[in-house]
Amino acid sequence: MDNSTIAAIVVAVITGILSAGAFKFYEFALKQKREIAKDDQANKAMYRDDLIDRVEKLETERTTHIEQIMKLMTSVTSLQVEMDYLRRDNEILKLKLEAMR
Amino acid sequence: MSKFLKPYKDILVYHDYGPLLLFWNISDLFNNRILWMSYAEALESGQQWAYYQYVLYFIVAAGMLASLPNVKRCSKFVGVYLLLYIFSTTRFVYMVLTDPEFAANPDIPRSLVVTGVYFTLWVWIYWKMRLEIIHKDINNG
Repeated sequence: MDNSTIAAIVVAVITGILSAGAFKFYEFALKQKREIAKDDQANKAMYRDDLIDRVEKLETERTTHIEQIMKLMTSVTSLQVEMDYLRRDNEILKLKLEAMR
Repeated sequence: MSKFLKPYKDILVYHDYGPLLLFWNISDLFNNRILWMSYAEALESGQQWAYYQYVLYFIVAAGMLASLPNVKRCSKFVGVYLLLYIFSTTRFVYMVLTDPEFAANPDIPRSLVVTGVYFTLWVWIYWKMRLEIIHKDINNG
């Protein structure tokens, strides 16, 4: 085997080994990058799902509270009407008492 | 200038290598000397080592053509082809640098330029294949 063949074999083997190593490293770096992107995406999805849950919960609470307020307003109105009647009765009774004196 | 070069860069980045490899393989197989020259002729002219090299090129090119639909297998043949290419180019450059008689051939600069372009082509094809494999692996895993 002459020198040129030996040199060519050495260069080809070294290039093969180095390029295989470089590709392995590049593959590893790309995989790492993709893993980070996946984690980030999963975190964002988790945050979004949490937000959706919270909005649903708040909307349910809002509906319940509106119903409670409506009930309370109805009660207040009826109490006001009753109080007006009582006030009027009280005035009449006061006038009757003064007339008896 | 960058506006002029951008479409060429886009071709290199976004276009696929498949049809090029298919036509190149067919041309390479038919262009291989073992189809047009017998071993006895090679032996007679003292080119038996070159003949073995052409046999290797032929086998690898045939393997490449046969495995073209399977990118993982095909990339291995392209890798071996590239190594063979590096081997023959290094041998050629070594002889140009050490043998003044051989270096006196006026066709050598042209051969070196063409070899450089073909080498770039094979590196580009190999790079594209490896990237495709890596992305497939990442997306499936």
